Amino acid sequence: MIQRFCRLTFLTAVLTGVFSCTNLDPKVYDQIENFWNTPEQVAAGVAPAYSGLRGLPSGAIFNLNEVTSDEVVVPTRGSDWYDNGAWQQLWQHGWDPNHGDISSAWTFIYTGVANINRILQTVGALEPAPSDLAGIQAELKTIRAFYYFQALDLFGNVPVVENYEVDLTTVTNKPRAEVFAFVENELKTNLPNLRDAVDGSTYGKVTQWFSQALLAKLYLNAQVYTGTPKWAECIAACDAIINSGKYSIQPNFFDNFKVNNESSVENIFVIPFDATKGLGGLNTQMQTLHYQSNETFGLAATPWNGFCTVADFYNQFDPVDKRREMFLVGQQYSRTGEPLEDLQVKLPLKFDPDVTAISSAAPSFRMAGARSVKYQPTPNTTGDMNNDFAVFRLGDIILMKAEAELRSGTGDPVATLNYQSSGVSIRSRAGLPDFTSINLDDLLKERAREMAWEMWRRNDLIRFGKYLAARVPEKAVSQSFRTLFPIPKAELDRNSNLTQNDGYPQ
Amino acid sequence: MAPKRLLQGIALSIFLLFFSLSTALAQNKTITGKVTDSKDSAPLVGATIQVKGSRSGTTTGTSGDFTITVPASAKILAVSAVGYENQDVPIDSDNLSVLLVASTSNLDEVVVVGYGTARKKDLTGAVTKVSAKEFNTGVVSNPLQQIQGKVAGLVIVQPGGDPNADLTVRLRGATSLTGQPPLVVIDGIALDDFNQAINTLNPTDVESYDILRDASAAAIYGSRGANGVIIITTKKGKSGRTQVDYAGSIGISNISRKLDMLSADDWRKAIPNEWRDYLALDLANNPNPDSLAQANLTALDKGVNVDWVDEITRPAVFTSHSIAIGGGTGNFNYRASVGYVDQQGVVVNSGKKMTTARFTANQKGLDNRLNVQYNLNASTTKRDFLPDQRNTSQGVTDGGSAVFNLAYNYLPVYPVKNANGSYFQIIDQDLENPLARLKDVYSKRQDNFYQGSVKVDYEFFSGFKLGTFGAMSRYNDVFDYFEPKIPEKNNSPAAVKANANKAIFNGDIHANYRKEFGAHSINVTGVYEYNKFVNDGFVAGARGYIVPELLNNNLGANSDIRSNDIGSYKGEVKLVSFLGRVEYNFDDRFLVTANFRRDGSSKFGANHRWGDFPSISAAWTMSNEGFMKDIPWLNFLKLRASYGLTGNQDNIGSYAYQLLYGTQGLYYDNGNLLQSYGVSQENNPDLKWEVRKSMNFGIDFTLLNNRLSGTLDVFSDKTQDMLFTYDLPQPPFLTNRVTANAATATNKGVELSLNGTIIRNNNFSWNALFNVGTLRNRITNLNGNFKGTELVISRRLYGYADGRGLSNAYISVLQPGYTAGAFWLWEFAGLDATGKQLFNDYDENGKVVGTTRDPKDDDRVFIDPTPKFTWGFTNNFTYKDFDLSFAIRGVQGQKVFSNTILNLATITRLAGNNILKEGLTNGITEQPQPSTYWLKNASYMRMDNATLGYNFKMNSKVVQYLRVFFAANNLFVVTPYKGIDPEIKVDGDRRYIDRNYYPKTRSFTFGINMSL
Repeated sequence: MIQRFCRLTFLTAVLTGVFSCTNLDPKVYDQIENFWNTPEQVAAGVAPAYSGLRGLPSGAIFNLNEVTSDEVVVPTRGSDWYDNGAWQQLWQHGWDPNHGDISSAWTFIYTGVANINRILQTVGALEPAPSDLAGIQAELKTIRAFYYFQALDLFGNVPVVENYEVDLTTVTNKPRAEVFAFVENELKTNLPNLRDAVDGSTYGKVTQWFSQALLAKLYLNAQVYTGTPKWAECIAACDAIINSGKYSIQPNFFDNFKVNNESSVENIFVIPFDATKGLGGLNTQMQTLHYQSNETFGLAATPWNGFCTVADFYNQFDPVDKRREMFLVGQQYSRTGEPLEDLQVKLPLKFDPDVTAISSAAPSFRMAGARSVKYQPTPNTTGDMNNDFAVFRLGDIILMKAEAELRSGTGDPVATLNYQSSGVSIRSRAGLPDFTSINLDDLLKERAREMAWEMWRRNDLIRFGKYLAARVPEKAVSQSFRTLFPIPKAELDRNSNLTQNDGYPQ
Repeated sequence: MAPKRLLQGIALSIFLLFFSLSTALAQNKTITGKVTDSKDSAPLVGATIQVKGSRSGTTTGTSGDFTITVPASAKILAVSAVGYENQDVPIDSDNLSVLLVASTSNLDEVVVVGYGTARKKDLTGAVTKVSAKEFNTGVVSNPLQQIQGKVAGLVIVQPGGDPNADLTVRLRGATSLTGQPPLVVIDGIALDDFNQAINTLNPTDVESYDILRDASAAAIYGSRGANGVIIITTKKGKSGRTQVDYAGSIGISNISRKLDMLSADDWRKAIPNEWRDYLALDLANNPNPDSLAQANLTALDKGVNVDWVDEITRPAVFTSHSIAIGGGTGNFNYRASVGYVDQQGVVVNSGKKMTTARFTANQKGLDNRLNVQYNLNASTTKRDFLPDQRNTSQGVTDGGSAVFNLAYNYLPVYPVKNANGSYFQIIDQDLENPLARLKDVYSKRQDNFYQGSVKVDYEFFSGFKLGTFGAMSRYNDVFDYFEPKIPEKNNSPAAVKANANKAIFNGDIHANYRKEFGAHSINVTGVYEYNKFVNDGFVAGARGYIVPELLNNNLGANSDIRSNDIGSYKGEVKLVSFLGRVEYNFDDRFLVTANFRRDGSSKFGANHRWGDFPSISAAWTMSNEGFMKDIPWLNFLKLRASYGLTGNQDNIGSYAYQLLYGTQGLYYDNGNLLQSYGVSQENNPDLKWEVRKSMNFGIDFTLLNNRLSGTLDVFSDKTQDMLFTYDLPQPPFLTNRVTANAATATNKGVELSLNGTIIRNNNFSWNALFNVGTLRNRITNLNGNFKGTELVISRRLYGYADGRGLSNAYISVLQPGYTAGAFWLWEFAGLDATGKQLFNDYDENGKVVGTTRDPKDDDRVFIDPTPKFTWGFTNNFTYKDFDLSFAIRGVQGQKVFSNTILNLATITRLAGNNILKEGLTNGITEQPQPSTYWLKNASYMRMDNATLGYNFKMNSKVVQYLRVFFAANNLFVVTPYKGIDPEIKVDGDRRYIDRNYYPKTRSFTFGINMSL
């Protein structure tokens, strides 16, 4: 036996040696060298343009849009959430170009862009071309425009790269107005080739209505982005959606955000999540809930006790406003109705919207701040949630149209705000009387109540000139250049053609 | 017995007859004799007996006996043995008794240099050999522990006392920025994973280690040699009578040091006293600190005194048995061994059990022109892991576990169990009953290993041999995991089964030619080699069991399978090499060795399929010059110089240069979840090996009548084209990181070894070995190129502190001008009146201008944590039949960042978490920030091993040899460091950062070695 083995080995050694002496091409087993051969492969190859979006609602983009606004603060509680000062810097507008969320947001945006550029390059070169090539390209370019909208809004003067393989020396900042023009043009050019159906086949997909909603956002902020307002264009885009009859106001506000919110008639574009089936990444419940809140919601993991809302914001809600139920305030109870206590400092688990300091090691401070359950917590998961995240919904469109009318002195903003579908207006479903008059201050407050924790607060505050204001706790008036984030230091290092935004160290 | 002896005699005679026929035509006479140690009269096995001036000869058998047929004219026999002085013996009788004196210089020792051997005195490169008699003993579960602290420049670090943890092994520092272990070659087989290869080997099977320290020695391994090479030779059978060896030992280990946590009574005092004072600092929020403290005390205190580290640990038993049978006739010898090592971990439910079997045989034939060597070996290792240790294909564990964090944080006033026998559970961040966690989680792995090899050599004509070698190695690791539902946790029970396989084929065709003419001799070696490595495996998991008794044995019996719960993979690597070596020796005075290796690897990009690795080295044995012969105190003096190129390709993945599509997560499509695909890897046609260019100068000397010998080496190495995940600009690239070649670093150092016989007389001897090595690593640049784009990195954030509130807390960097992983920390400048931390505030000129509570990056300082030098000191004493040895090992000038202490030494974590006593006295009343406060001097001196042995004088015909010994490991450590141990990881991004290590142990062992 041994001898046979030896002979075999000997023979193998010599034969292998002779026949494969310089053949070094490795066989690839578990990765793919050749793809895009069938319609199913084309669909699966285009899909990463969407799957990348799952990084949007829990991560840097959320933090930059919410924690720098008056809506969300992440105070340092004892040892927790100091994290090298990252959260305090966001609240107090003290970030520098090395801030981790600023780098992450940039990476998120430009990874999404490069991914789509590569897919566009590949799809465009397929022989034979896919039958719905124009539709695929329009869809991809519209998602790319959404990424560029994020860059336009957060960083302003950013490089616009439309092809996958480009010479680095051509990658330079464009002025914000040029980025605006690029996004506008991309959306308008590709809109006719998008689908207009609103049904299962377009759920979680880019449609004409997504494109109109994004155009409305773009035009609403045109004055901020370019110095030139585009109120009429904003109103037209909103009207296209409202008048299409494809969407209506969801009678129960929270049905838009519940765990199984696929049936919402109001959500225009959602990013689908289903943590238990592999669509993970939404973890707002972990970031905001207290460690012992898992007893309230039956989570299979201990939450992190971080994100919360301060009293000044919370108090904008009328006590009868049903939308105020998005916040947990006061004594918390277990599923069986027992009052809960903090297991480590043995104080009652009682959330208090008063956040008196940005950092405190006081035991009671562990309970500071109102917690958001706007997106209903998902029981029995180890962190990630199953709710689909609404990027655009009709409620926002109505508020945007009213604001454009009010600012341009056209139309009837009060009537717009009181717009009814399914027998409700956004006010009446909240249990509040319809508006009889409106001014900009009240409109911003209504946006606070309707759109809280939906990632638009920074954008709104800048448009209303309130982003830089002093806030409680411990935020002074910030410098005017803080309305734009800096180009990340690491990107300036890697590409010497990039220039820094005004006010930040080059 | 008699017929066998006769047969042996006949065989030997025939052998010698043929041999002498081919060499001389003369009348012969037969001489018999016995070779023994001059000191203890122990028979010397394998000693070489030659007629002076001739090449013919024989070796002694197991009882030291020899028989040699010599020409009638022969006058003198030259007798030599490894580890002994050569001796010329006049043939003045037919039966000679030869007493050899132990040598301290070992100049004739045979050193394995890769694809061949050389005598130590002929070496031109820096090679160190450590043989069995110099090994550390006691609780040795990893073979390399046998030579820890014995070789200058070879740093072997064992972080923690986890039997399943890998050692960190670095020779002359690492090439790549993250650090790579040396290449390990066991009996000629070069495997791809250092730790995996080492872990299959039973320490008792090792005969010797040869460490190729400089590039001229390692260059023969080409693209795999840049991190140095450790060649391991296992024990082989010897012709002669059948010998049975037994080695057994039993030992017990305990934790050597614990952290100074609050005891239950300390905690009870601290809450109403120190914690209350701390609450009183914030009267606005805590208007009545006394009542709040009292309320906490009452609510949390369950009236018990528990030391959680004691609860999760135990005295651990170590047992090791090995039996080897060896023997053979003149043409055939063999050795078979079976070994068993059972090492419990000091932490409950951790440990390993290893069974090994090894068979080697050597067959000569066809007029002794044919030589065939067989090797077969197999091992099975069963490992019990701690809950948070992961099954990784590379190595085993990093020696840490979150369970220690649980044990440190869980309150000492919490009981282990409730009255009903269930575990007392408080579930929170950092809180869970640590003993329950250890007992509940089932995490095991069985590593199976099989290997066979054959080497055939044939001598075509005198001096010319041609041969071939083939080896098959197979690894099969089976991982089992089960975690039950903990009601208080509301978790979903999870089970995993995973299987990782690796098949490795190594083959070569080799030729060797030796020729002497006059004072010249040459030795030429040429090899063609082919290596293929294939990896494959699968993982399957599921959740939601309602019958926990099934463990992971019925994955189908579940309610919850998620998309990432199953997976499989397969990949392969091919490596083809041509290599050659020429050794030239003139008159034993001038020696030159030239190596050349050409490697082709499937890992490299299309533009760099093949790489060339040359080296040259030369030596001048000055002591053989006439003008130095008369210096009475100088026995040997040799100067060496070498220069060579070696490569490192270990940290390139199988297909790292190719453009690949892979799965990219699911996507939602009309109610279905489908798999999306995208580019998983950018192509990099320029990807290639790292190159280490090394220069070495050395002196070997033997002085004072061979009583003092030593080696001094100075080296200067430069590693170029270092592989690293470089930063890519975005836009336009798909990712912001890519593996590419670029950075450059230097390693420079001095290594000195001394070996002295201080006392040597009939009853008493004292031998001492000392070595010291320095290493200075500097990154010189981090610039590179990827597909035509220049990449520039001025600084890469690298190591980090972690724990509560410590995300983004980077504390070390990779930066040109500094050692890889240099600390980058704020300078602690004291506390303010309320216990808040202050740091030095630097201005733009780098001057301290005051203190700040809010330090910025420009207030950070760079600190090199690496040791100034590492050293080892071994002493061996013999007195009559007793022997005593001890090995001390030290590291001087090392700094360690105490992440564990930072996390625990803070009063802010009371009352619900336990803290270190230091937290009550250090005055810090806020989240401790990573700063120089936590960077501690971690120089140390460790008594690694002390052994007292007794050799029985055996007159029995059955028992030839009997020794008993008593050994202690890690008897004491002298260090200013306050953590559990200063010896921690020195590679990767956790280098010099102390966090949740498995406790170190102190062990005592009793053992027997016996030969029948």
